[in-house]
Amino acid sequence: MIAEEWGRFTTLAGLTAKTTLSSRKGAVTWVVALLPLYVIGGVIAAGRQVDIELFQILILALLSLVLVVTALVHGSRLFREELEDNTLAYLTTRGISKASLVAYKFLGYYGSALLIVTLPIVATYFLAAASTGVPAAENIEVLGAFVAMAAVGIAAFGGLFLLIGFALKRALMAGLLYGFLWETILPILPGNVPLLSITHYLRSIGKNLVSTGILSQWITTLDLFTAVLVPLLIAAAAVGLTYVLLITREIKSKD
Amino acid sequence: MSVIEGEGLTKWYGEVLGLNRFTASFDDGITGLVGPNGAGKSTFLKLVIGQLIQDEGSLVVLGEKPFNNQRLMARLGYCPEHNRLYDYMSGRRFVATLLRLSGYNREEAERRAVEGMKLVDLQADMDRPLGGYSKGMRQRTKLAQALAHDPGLLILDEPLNGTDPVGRARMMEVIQGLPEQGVSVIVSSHILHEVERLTDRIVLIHRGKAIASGLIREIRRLIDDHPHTVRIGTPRPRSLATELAAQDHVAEIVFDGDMLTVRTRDPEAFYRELPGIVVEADISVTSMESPDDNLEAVFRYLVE
Repeated sequence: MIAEEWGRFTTLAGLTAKTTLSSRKGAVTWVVALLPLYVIGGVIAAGRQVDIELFQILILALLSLVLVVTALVHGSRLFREELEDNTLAYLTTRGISKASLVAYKFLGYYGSALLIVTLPIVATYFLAAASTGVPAAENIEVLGAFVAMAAVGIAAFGGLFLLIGFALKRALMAGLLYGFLWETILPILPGNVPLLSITHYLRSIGKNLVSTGILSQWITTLDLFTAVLVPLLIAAAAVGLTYVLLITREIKSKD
Repeated sequence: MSVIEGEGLTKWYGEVLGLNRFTASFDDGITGLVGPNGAGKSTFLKLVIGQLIQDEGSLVVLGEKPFNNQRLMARLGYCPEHNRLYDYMSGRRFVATLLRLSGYNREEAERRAVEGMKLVDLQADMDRPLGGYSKGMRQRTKLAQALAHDPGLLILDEPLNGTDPVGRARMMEVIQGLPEQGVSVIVSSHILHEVERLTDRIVLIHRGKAIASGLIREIRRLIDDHPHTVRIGTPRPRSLATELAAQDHVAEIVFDGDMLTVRTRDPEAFYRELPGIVVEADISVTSMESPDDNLEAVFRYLVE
């Protein structure tokens, strides 16, 4: 029984990861995810050193874009493409439970999207360190903060876009509005409004892990535990809601 | 034994009625679900595989309610009407992947995938990407994936659409052999002679309603009083019509160029007497066909 379920997990998560990493859309997100490398590589090629301050500014500026685009493209398509291509029935008429179907697809997405986002950040970090001659270990908490922000952000945005992709036919449009309006405007509004945006929690993670530079300047009262927990709960709730939709809604195909 | 029991099934798509108090029972063996496009065949089959849920009525498949029933789904094989597959995969990988999701280990899934592709005569192409498969090859691949996990009930939605003659013959051969292996089959089609070649047991569906079901010969009894139609090709249609009009059982003759459409109340007498008539009057007959000899006629009479 456990072996059967493990086989289902490796098959479905592996299939999802493979399409995330190697499909045409995957190639597009690789191009976007590599932006930090182009930008910082370009700055270094222009003869300027990229110290840890500049590294923080550049990565922070690009991280939101990379996170939203990667999560939107790959999270929303997990079920949307199956629904539009009428291929979901191939999966639902097997022995796999619908809970496993949602969970394994999401985990496959999570692992591969995390790779897409973090690999360029890690590479860029070492490139920047090499440009200044500062040992890479010296500012490793900055790299750790960005990786943690990416890990939590990929889960939270991915969960939301998974849900949007299942529930809405125009998932990409809805996701773009959410990702680039809601998540851009709400974090900078006064009072408790930023608590309604995932970006605020991600920036709070950075603030809690780094004591210098732009990451440390974010205004927040959230501790690290809360800043990590809330986005993960959002991800879990979105994945759970997708499962509820899958077991309660009919699958109306176009044929 | 009944494998599917549908009672008063009604399904709405917004304001469009997909099924209208559809009541039918499907026994083990092969049963054809026959009706024109838009009759409700796919809607009914999607209720069976739990993709849709009825607004009214009850549906029992292999003794269980299908919606959200994963245990039941594992016992079904489903071949959808559309030809969408995972085009980036090879045929073998596609079947093996679905077998893995059915719970088979890697080796067994690979073995069954190869066997499945061989069964539908696709062994030579099984490692090519599905994106390059023809319609007929896709149909055969869908059949392979539907059968590879040894289902107890196979649901085939228009399985022969787009198949070439050789592939079609192979698929029919495979489907016809399934009842011997304990697999019940529901096969839908709007091409009536296809179903007639697979089984003599049918359910006729029209505008969402089951209008007749049972053995074709039993259904024929329902229309015994309806005139039988024969189309005859001849270079002398008027002469032949004159001779035929003298027969008591001939109810109507319609001219259509070199073709005569004759309606008779006594087919046996008509076929017995026709050779004598044409020989005696020296009229040559270039072709003869009876639309009433196939399922099409039964269906048409019942819905008229």
